[in-house]
Amino acid sequence: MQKPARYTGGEYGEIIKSKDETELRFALCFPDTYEIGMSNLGLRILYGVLNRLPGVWCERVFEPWEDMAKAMREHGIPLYGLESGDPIRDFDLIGFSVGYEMSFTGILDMLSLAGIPLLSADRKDLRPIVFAGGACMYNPEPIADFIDLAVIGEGEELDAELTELFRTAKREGWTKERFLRAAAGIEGVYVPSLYDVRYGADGTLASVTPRDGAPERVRKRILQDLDGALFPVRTVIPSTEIVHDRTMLELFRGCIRGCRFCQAGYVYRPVRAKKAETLIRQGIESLRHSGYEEISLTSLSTSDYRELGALCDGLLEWCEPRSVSLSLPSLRADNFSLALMQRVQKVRRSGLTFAPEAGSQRLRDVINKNVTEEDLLNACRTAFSGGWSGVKLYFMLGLPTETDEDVLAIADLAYKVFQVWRESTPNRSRGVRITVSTSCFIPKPMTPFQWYPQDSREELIRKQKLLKGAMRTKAISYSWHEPDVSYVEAALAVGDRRQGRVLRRVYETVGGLQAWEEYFNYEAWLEAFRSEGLDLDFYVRRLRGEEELLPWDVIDDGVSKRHLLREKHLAEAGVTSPDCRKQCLGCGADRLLKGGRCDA
Amino acid sequence: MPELRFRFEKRGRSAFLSHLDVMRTFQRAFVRAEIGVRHSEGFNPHPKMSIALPLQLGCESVCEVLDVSVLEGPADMTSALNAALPEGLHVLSASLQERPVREIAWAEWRISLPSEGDAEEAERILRFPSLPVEKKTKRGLGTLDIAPHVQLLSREGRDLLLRLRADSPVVNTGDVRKALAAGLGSEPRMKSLRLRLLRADGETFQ
Repeated sequence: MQKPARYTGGEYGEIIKSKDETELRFALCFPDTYEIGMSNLGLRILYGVLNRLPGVWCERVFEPWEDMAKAMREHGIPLYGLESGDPIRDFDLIGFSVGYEMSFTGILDMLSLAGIPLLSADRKDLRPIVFAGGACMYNPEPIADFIDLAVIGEGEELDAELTELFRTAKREGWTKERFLRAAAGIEGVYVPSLYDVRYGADGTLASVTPRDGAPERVRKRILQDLDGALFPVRTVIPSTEIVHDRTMLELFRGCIRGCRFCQAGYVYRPVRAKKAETLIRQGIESLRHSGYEEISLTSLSTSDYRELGALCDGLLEWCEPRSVSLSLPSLRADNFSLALMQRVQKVRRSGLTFAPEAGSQRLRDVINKNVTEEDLLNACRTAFSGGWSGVKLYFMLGLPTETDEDVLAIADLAYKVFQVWRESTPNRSRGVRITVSTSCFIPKPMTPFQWYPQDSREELIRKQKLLKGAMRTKAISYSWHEPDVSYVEAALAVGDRRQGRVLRRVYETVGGLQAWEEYFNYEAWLEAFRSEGLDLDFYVRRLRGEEELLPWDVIDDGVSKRHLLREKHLAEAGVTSPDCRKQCLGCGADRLLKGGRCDA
Repeated sequence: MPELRFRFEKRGRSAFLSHLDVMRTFQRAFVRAEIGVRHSEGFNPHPKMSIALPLQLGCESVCEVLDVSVLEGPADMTSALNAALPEGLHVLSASLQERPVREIAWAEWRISLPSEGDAEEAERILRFPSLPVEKKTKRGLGTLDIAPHVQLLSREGRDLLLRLRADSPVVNTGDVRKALAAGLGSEPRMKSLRLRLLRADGETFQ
């Protein structure tokens, strides 16, 4: 058995409640391994929020690795909550946090291991209710057959309201149907079975019709006040190693930038920042209770936080004498400050990463990544002259309108970074490591690029080879993502309900751990789509019409389709939009706020 | 503040924590307990602490030894630390390091087999004059006769009390399991609990 500590529970900070005083059992499930799930801040927040409710005991459940799953099946051990060891099939609410489309099959794996029927329609009783939330629920359709409902948006208040409704339903002995109809009345709850879906002859959606009072569109939920919201300063501290083994401090939600490929940049709007004083207090408390030796300031674009200097000062005052390091991921090349980096890296020095995303200015304008070559080279010059000897550069291949010139421009840009290093390093003999990584562009729902196709696999492979051949020095290393996974991910991202049968078939043939290279099986996915009479290229390689009804149109993230279309058209014209701080573009998300003023 | 020695137990679910996991957990527990630990110098400072004779995964113990350079801390460090540790890890005492850990020569173990019959069989096998097992050495995989390094003290029901060599070579209960497998035909399921560390003169190592 590999890493058995993943399956034992018993960590410092886990919450154990007395069963006599527990009225509701909640299984907070993450359809991936312990190491990935425990690194997720959202999961920790919800664990804190739900366990704060009196009479509710929320436990963590992760997807076991294959060796453990096999042992559990052999010994007849059903999937259990880590805190109590009790089988989750006896729980009341089973909530999945889903942040990655490739983990959809993990949901089926976990339900199956738990001994719970996979299909919502096959679960007749009120208990357990199976639902899902998280970033992937901006298009819940591919898993619509398996879940009883989806929660859209931020879960802090929504999950608590849903739990309270369930408490009433359980006390009063409601049927499952009655509960689902009532749940559909909570803002942010989507009950797929209350919508009749029809397809046209060309395979596109013809209509989506709500019934029994379900809303036409389900609007996402947001928190109005982040400073007042629960932040789990006391949380579970894994004894075994996880991916992000540090305190994570969320500075703000949303992003002012409006990069046109970025789903997170749209769906987490409007921008809401926490006060530096709140963050300093929560950061220090988290470190004291966790004993972590690192704190990471997380947000979509950390350097856009207005009070970053004051925040770092406040945290460093506590961290430095205790050898706790502060890390700042998600820095932008256009507002990079060496003074800041040197200040935060006094304890331990980490690598430096920038994400220009595209090689040419033309393509960066198309995607609205408002970073210029000069910004990047200046940031690198500052870093190299300050003693850094390596930089990672992230790009995407296959962006809309991309030409070979744009691809080759990545190699040029990397070479210019190399030249800047030669000019500016105080110590040439140390050498330099410039790492270029490319991922494959995946059109995501709720973005201006949601109508676009993805490049074909062959085209992506050709571009990867083209770029590899264009790298001019050994100081630059190039790594790329395999396009097979991206192709499947792209299909699921924009998928509809018919894909449920595909997911089930894949799960049954090659297992749930499809997010993992070791288990991802491309041929099995192709075969499953084919067997279910669906065409992968229909989802991935088709330019959708602007008038087309899209599977996720039933979900309202606050940003208007009008805004997305305007951004799409500007992209096609190669015209940038200013960031939200410079000028409000009227995306519509500010209407989600009481008082209607965005905190950009 | 001095070089301190914490003696602790590793029981129950915590038996599945690896040596590195335990080190990491203590490192964080010291912070949570507000016990300052001396750090090494350099680019990546790390706390100065070490655990003698790392346990194999799955084994329990009531006699673990953790040596730490402590800078400062509350008066009752044992209680403070216990409040900061996860289930199964429990500090028994804190004292000055009087003897160096290199004096540890033997470890006393209780191994529990599935049944009394299995234990009787194991007892018989462990009295063989030679017990060759495959063992990783610095020069790759080699064969070691562990018979001279295993003392069978007694059997009680399905439990065996053993002394295993702990200096050179270090023999662990995994080696014993392999020796038993050679006699039994397959590796027996067994639970291992380390009870006591001993010096070469037979005195308990403190």
